[in-house]
Amino acid sequence: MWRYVVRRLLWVGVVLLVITAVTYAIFFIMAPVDPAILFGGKQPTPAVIQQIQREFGLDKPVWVQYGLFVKHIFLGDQYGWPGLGFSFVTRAPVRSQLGSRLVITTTLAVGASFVWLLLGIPVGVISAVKQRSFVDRLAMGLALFFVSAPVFWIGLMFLWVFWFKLGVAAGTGYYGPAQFGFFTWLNHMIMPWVVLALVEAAWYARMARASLIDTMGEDFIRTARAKGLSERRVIFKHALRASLVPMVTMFGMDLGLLFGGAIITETVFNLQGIGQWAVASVFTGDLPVILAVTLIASFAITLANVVVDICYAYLDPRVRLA
Amino acid sequence: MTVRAQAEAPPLPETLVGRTYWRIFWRRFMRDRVAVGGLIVIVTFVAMAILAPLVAKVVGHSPNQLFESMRTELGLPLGPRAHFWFGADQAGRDLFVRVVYGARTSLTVSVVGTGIATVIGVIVGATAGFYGRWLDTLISRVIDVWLSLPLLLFAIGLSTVCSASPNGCLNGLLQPGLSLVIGIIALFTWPYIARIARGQVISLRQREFVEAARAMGVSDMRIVLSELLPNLVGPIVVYATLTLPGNILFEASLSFLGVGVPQSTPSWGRMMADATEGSLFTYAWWMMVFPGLFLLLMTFAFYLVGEGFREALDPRGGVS
Repeated sequence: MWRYVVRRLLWVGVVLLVITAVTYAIFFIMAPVDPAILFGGKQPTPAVIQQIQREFGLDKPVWVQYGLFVKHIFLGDQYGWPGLGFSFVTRAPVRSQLGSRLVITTTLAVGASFVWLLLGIPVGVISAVKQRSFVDRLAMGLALFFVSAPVFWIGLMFLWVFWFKLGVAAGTGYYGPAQFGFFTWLNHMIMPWVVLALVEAAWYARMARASLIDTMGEDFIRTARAKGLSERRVIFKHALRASLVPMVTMFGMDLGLLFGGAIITETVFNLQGIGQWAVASVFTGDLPVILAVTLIASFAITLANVVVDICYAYLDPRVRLA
Repeated sequence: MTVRAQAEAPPLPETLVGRTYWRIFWRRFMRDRVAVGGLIVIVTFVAMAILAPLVAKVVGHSPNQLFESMRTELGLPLGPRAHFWFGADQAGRDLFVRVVYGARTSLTVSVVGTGIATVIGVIVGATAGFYGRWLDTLISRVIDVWLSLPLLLFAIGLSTVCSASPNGCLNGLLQPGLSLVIGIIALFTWPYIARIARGQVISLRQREFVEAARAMGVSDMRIVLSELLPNLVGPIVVYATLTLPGNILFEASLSFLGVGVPQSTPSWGRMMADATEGSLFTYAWWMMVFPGLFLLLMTFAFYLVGEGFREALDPRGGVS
């Protein structure tokens, strides 16, 4: 087990380096104009451009620049750790806003993950157990509907119907529990959680159904039935366990997709998370923020993936021996 | 059961027609009524996209024409009515004509983007699967990392950087506008196709016909092109069809976030972004409902057709 953990952690180191290389390539090498101009906001003054050139070492060879870039990220820059640079639009270090924004995005993502799994897997299991029934057809029809629907459209429709027309849900914006109380906070988070979770839940319902139906055809299920176990026991103790384990790793892989949805959900519901930060920065021309969010989100997803992988290896010994 | 079915089989027709792989595929697809319905919807959308200028002519409004009569004194757009079936947008443009034109943008960007991604994906995936060893390990790892990243964020970054100059990135390969969105879609979807192509090639590589070709001294290139590739077409078509709706949504999302197609191009995603400006959609619901419904219908139809393709190709299904 420990060997596996060490191997995974070494691999993470490589992945983090690759992420820095890709972001560096996109933001510095591919830039059609001097990166210093791009990073200085909409109308940078010559003094600002010079400052950026000095900070990123833009007059030095590319590999020195990249080395400096990596060093800043992992060891911090003059504004502290992690070194995410300075926003010339807000005239503050990027990391000064990071904390409060990360809290909102984490709240959204964790809540949505719960809704996603608690909705997706049971629906898939019921569909598989009651295969070809009315419930199955209805559930799979709805699942295909939510897979096809754009997240922002569902968000807007929900807002229009449940907030504007019916008045049963709270509107947009984030209301911190410490300041506005727990119920106000919860009231404003329910719709974003559900909207973000629906698309993913729909995918998982479809996958859980297919996976369980496949498993039900395996030999060990026939054996379990032959032993005279009740159908309930066969499904819940034998089949479900075997069919859900592979979905754990898929969960790790899909966190990137979840984050993509979170960007849109935050924009629609005006939650001041890091996704909304990146989108808002497109309009203000605040490139350091977009770069910082890209790095932070990629790092977070990579680390979450390792945690999922290690959990998976703990549950299924075949993985760590492979 | 099968034995009985064979025993009661009707007498053979006078002339026997050989069923090719594709004919069997097509017959099985056509039996799936839901998927055929999806195909009809797609054909309608394609026709709509091609005939968009004709529609504009018949209606008598061009997509960027401003109608002051369609706005109130406060500048708010007016809703659906005769001659303006879907109402007007915030600038007083005919939303129906714009939605019809939106099909053009959506289909062009996603089909071309998916096409490029498919070519790259098949080349990379087939190379990895065919040569195996360290090359396969390397490519598979790259794909794993790639797919776990928050691609929408990278797309936002890439789009912002490349829009900084009219010349675009990579010596003008990714110029601001449609080609940038197409490039982003291609760049971010090839790994899905590559993964499928790799898996298929690995399972085919060991088969007898490939060994026979190798024993006859056929070159690697030739084995890949004339032995493996024809067998890849089916699964690749299925998965390309299934990634297409994702890419339609990807374009819409980018345009919704303001980093997609340029302002003047009618795009369903951007129309919905316009509807959110100052919560306009709470009043002008048509600005959000109609583009969204069209987008939903199109992706839904593509998923149905993709699923239909997949089931028609599944060897576990019946033959006739």
